[in-house]
Formats: sequence, C-alpha cells, structure tokens
Amino acid sequence: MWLRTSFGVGLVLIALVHATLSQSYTRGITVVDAERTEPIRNGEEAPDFTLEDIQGNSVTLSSARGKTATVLVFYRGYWCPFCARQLSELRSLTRDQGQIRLLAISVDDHATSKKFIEKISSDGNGSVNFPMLSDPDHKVIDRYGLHDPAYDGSKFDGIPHPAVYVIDKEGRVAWSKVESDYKIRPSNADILAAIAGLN
Amino acid sequence: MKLVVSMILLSNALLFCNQSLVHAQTTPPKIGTRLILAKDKAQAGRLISASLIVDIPAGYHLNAHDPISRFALPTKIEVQIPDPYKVAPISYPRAVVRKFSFTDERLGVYERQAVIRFGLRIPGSVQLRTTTVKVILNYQSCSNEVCFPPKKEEATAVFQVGK
Repeated sequence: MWLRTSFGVGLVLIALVHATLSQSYTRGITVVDAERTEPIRNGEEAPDFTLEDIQGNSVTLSSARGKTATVLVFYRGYWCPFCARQLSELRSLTRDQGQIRLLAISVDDHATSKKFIEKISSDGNGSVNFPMLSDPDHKVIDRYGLHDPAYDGSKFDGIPHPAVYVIDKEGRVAWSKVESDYKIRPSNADILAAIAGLN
Repeated sequence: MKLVVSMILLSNALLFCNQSLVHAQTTPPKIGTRLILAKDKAQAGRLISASLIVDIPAGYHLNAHDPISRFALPTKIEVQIPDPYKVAPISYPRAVVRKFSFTDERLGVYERQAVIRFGLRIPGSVQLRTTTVKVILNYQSCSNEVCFPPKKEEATAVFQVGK
C-alpha cells in the first residue's frame, strides 16, 4: 500500500517537473500569446518593417534587398548593462567592416536612445555608427516572436529577448542567435562568420 | 524498492528547488520602503529629520547613488512636499563596491538595507496644520547575474506643525 502511494506521488512529481521544464524556462524564453509565439527561424523570410532612427528618419529593412545583407540586433534597452556592452562592441564591427549594414532595435524612445548613445560614446572609442531604431509599441519585436512577457503591464512592456539576426540579400534569415542566457551574446567574430557564410 | 522510490522523490525535490532558485534570480526583487520621521510634530521654524529605509532582499542589490559604472542607473529620491516647506540636502549612504558577472566594471551598490536621509524645513510663517510628505525612490535592482529595468517605489509620512 505504502509502495503504491509512494510510486504514485513520485510519478506526479516527475510529471510536474517535466511540465516546468517544458515551459522552456531553462532556455530563458517563455512562450507567449503574442502575434508570433516563437522567434523567427533560419530560412524564414524576415518580416519587413519601417522604424524611425533617433533623428526621426524612416529606416526600412527591405531597402537593402538585392544589395547587401543586414544585421538586426534586438536589445532590451538603455538600462541593460549587457546590452550596453554588446552595442559598444558592435561599433568596431561596422567601423572595421564598412559594408555591413546593422540596425539596432528596442522599445526605447528617441530621447532615451540619444542619451544611451552619448553614454556609449563617452568611452572615447567612437560614436555609435549604426541606426538605433525605436519600436515603442513593440510591433516589430512581436512579429519576430521576441516579446518577453516578464515585463508586460509595466512601463517596459514589450521588451524583447535579446537577439541577433543576419538577413541575406533576399530578405531571408541566414543566421540567428536568440538569448538563452542573459550573459551570453554573439561576438563580432560570430556575426562576421555568419556573414561570410552567405557567400 | 523503498530506496529507489526515495531517490526518485529526493531528486524531484532537488530539481524543483533548483528551478525555484533559477526563477528567483531572474525575477525582480520586491524592494521595501519606509519613511520614518524623527518627529511627527514640530514647531514652525524647525527642522524635521527624515529617513527613507530601503530593504533589499538577499541575493539582490540596488545601484548606489554613485554607481561608478557609466551604464548603471543611480538610485535617486524625489521628495514631494507642498510649499512653503523646503527639503534640506539629501544624504545617500556609502556604496559597497563589487564586481559582478554581468559587467567588466566595478559597481557601487547597496545591499540588504540602505538609509537615505534628508531634512524638512518648516518656515516660521507656517500655521498649525497637518502635512503629508511623499518620497519617490527611483532605482535599478540587479541579482548577481542580471539587471532589471528601473522602477519606482513610494513612501509617505504625515507630520503636524504645532505650537
């Protein structure tokens, strides 16, 4: 009797743990009921969009179609130290590899992004030399399946899981890295290797 | 058989605890705030000392008022009190300097509890009345591994100006 009860309890616990793990929590991504529930994958067409940079100029993803690949960087925001480090490093990617088109996207507004750029540039290693695009209603973030629901209902509603995409000239996702660990971001070398792989 | 079942139960319990810990470290902390006045009654022309006590759960910290790192958002308070009261200079506690895995830089932080002090000057012309002072704490919290978006917490206290 005791044996059967213990076995039953053990099976229930196993089922509970399995359910917890299957929420993808250990991957750092929680499935959400947004427009898209999973991040865009390699081989898929990258959703086109038009967003504004800090000067209010419109920037359209597909304007580079047929011409050059695009690196898309989704970052959490001005308050995220890892994101600051990542964007600081990306300056050398676009400076040293002049042909690379890079677009950085967050929910931050223009004024906030401007201050963020000033902080990054204050290390003396040059200004941010790629557009920082504002997606305050997180429509693009949602379409890429990157919406992190942990901040829903707060002032920071719509924050994305950090992600980097390499979009080829035809507008398809050739390479992607979506955050599974807060601390790990792809290096410039990783991105360059992905771009080199397009040829 | 009893041993096998016990092992299954124990390993599941350990796995569950581990998941809870991981979840705790990636969930923003609940920061407690209390506004304490040295006196809840004072005469016109006097100063009331005030302390905002900030309670920080274990495993987390707040960026200090001077966080050292240029990307760290500093802790700052706003004191809201009606005219003609004035706020005397705010004194922030000394930071503890630490190194965390999420940045290459050292950080000035507050851990466990931080007490931020200021004064409330009551002009001599103020008549007898009851006044509410509100303090808004602006802060960014982090665990040992990740930082969270900045937040605000409020605390209020009431005092009387009497004869």
